[in-house]
Amino acid sequence: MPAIIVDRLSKSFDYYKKEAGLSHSFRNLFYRKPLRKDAVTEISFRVEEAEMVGFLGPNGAGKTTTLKMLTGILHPTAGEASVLGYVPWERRKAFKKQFAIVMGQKSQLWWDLPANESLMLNKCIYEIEDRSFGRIVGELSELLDVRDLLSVQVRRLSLGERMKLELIAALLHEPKVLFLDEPTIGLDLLSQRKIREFLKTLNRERRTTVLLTSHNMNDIVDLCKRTVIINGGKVIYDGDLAKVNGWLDQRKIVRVSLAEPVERRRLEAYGIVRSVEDVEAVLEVEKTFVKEQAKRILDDLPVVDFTIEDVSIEEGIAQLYRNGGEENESAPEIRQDVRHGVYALDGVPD
Amino acid sequence: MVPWLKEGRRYLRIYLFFLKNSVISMMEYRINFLFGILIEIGYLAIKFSYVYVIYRIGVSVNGLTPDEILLFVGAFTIMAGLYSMLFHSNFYMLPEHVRTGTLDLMMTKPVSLQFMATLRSIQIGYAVPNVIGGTAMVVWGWREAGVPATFGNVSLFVLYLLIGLLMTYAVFLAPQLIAFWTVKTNGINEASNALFDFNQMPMAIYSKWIQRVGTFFIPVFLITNLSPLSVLGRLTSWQLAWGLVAPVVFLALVRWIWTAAVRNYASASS
Amino acid sequence: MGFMHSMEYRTDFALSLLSGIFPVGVQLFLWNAVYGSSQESVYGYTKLEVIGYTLLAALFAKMMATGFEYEISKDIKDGQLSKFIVQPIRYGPYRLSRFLGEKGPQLIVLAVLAGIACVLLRNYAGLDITGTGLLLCAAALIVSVLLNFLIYYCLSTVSFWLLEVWGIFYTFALISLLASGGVFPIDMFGPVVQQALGVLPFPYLVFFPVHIALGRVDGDALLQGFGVQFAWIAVLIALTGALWRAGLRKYESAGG
Repeated sequence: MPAIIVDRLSKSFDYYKKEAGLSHSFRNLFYRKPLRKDAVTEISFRVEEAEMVGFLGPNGAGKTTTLKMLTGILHPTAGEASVLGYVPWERRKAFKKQFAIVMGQKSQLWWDLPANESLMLNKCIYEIEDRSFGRIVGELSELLDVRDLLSVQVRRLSLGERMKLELIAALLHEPKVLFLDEPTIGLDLLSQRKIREFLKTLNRERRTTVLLTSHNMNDIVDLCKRTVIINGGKVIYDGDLAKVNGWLDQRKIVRVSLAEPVERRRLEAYGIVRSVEDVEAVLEVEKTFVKEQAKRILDDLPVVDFTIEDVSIEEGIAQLYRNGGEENESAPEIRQDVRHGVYALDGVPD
Repeated sequence: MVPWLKEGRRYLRIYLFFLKNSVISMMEYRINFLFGILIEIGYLAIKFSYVYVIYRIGVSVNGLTPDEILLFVGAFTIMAGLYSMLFHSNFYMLPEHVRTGTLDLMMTKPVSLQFMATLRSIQIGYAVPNVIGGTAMVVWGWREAGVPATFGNVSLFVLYLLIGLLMTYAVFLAPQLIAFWTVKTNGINEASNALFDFNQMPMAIYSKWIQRVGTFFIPVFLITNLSPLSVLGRLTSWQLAWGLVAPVVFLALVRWIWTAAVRNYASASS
Repeated sequence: MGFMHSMEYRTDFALSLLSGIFPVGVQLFLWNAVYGSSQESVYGYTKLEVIGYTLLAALFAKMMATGFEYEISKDIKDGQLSKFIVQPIRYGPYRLSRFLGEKGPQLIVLAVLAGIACVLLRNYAGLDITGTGLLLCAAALIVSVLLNFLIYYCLSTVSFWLLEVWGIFYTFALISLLASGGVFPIDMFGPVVQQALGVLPFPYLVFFPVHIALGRVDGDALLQGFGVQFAWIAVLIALTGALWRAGLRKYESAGG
């Protein structure tokens, strides 16, 4: 049975538009017209037990809103979801004891106290036995290399150190499902790597199901085989991250360093010119002609250096965002079947 | 073990953690602790000025002698200390928890959200001057008014103070819950604190109409009036009965508002 | 902008107005009850006079509310003060003009309310409020606002020596409210307390202007009151100057 099932989940909420001017302020005193915003629209996906799935999307795409619904913080407007067989927003105690959420910008640790005290409080809240508490704290702090930091006041810690302790506080009760909302936001590279390693170990050894949102592509590339990409409140891609740019696979990027500047018009003969800067040029060439064009370039132009690359994942995703973000139906050319995770391409968008 | 007893013990243990954590924080910010005491001494001076003026006037006010009034002001002062120690900073922080989303994390914990959000911080500093000053006023007024210091009387006084504490929780949490619907609540905070100060003087000084509103609808008068009235033997039988029923009614009411507020939060925010 | 901002939070707006009225309500009921049991005057005040006092004192005490002392303390703590040492703006005049600019609209609203209260008290309560009295009261209030500014400006210099000061400011404001007659008329505290307070600047902030409005201050006392106000202004200017210079020396040597 999948650990997480999301079925046509939607969330919309009312908000008030602020209008400038004193007369509007007066009018607002008595009446305000609510506006409706759809944060998430009929999204569906599944996460299997012990799977680690990346949840990707630009700001305001609805990632956090979805996580909040799956952790019972928010009630959906429509649709269904189940996490470990529970309906999250019923907020059953038994359910709460089996998952954890860590949000990069929110802290559950008491600011003025050593993290130890917060851990003790969680021990009490989750009714953890003394023996297993000692063992878990020992193991986790060993893995994250924060043994000595447990007795330091949280406000004296660096952001990276604090996040590691947040993770320990969240994992004390050995949750089966872990939700992470931007866990590496604002962290230095070293801490980011440490946390990623830790999450991998956790997933491998404890078979913890992880659903993770991040802006940081490295998090997702490194951790998640599968990615769900949402934009404008809709799922626009669900599948292997490496294939996200599959439909851009028909193109290759050719980078050329030249001995002397060459006119743009001359370069256009070999492919679409993405950029020319002094002696550096980047061209986009159709895959089928790459070999042929490369040969021509090397023959015709004063080439110093020359590389052929795939279109990057970031670029593929950026392209997806652009298409998925548009309101009309024609934009996302990817047809999806959530149940089977099969995706077909209807054509190559430009 | 009986399940509810086990739960009770768990909540008590969590509450002791809150207390312990608050004490550690207090040690950390000693200056805030000192300033808390200083400010409360300032307020105590204002409260005391009422007593001073009444003693100087020296006449009975609506049937209460200055000594008897001192008993009321004392109970009010003790309660003001307990309110600011146990509840006020929590209630004050509630909109902040909503705004910054710390409430979200509390919602995922397997304990009552209301318990977590409204009782977590305990500010001992604020209570010190008020509880000491208030107790001194009560003791003085008690002796001068000639109330027998029997065990029964003292227990009665304390019992109604505890009831007053429950009433304080219910009456002053409710207005803060509007934070779940609107963001800014400074005004609510000020207004409800000003309501609390209606107990500065015995309820007997107010008009009948206000007394009724303050007893039944916004029952602020039940917070500090019942203790002195009971030991002065002036508690009417309906006041006695309502004093016991009201905490149940209003705690249930605030629980209901709380549930509605959280439901609204869960469905109206993103 | 500030006004529009407060309109935006509508419930909030109405409620903060309400909270200003409540404490006055408690006092009015207290006086009602006190006079209910004895009809004669208490400490030289008839029932209507004491009601008049309570209303006007509440409004005048609001006029004396400040907040810039926290800003000064912040400027000193954050090193923002350095800007003023380099620039050719004097910090004192800058603070005073900002204070008056921000306080101005509020002062006007309070003055209008006080004017309405005076008219009502004269017409319906038969209090002896005269035009001359009101003019003199307005003059006294203008001096009071300046005097009050100087008191808090002087107090704010403690920020040079203490890192945390908010508790001191807050407590000072409470004591000042009590000592200025913002809670009870200070002559009700008895002649000893009144005389002791009389040498301090506080009674000249609220008690003195209210008494002028109520026509309870005559020729000599009036001159004497204004005299003390100006004397305190002179003293505070000198004191603040000395403290400020001493503070700046410490501030600069600390490399702020």
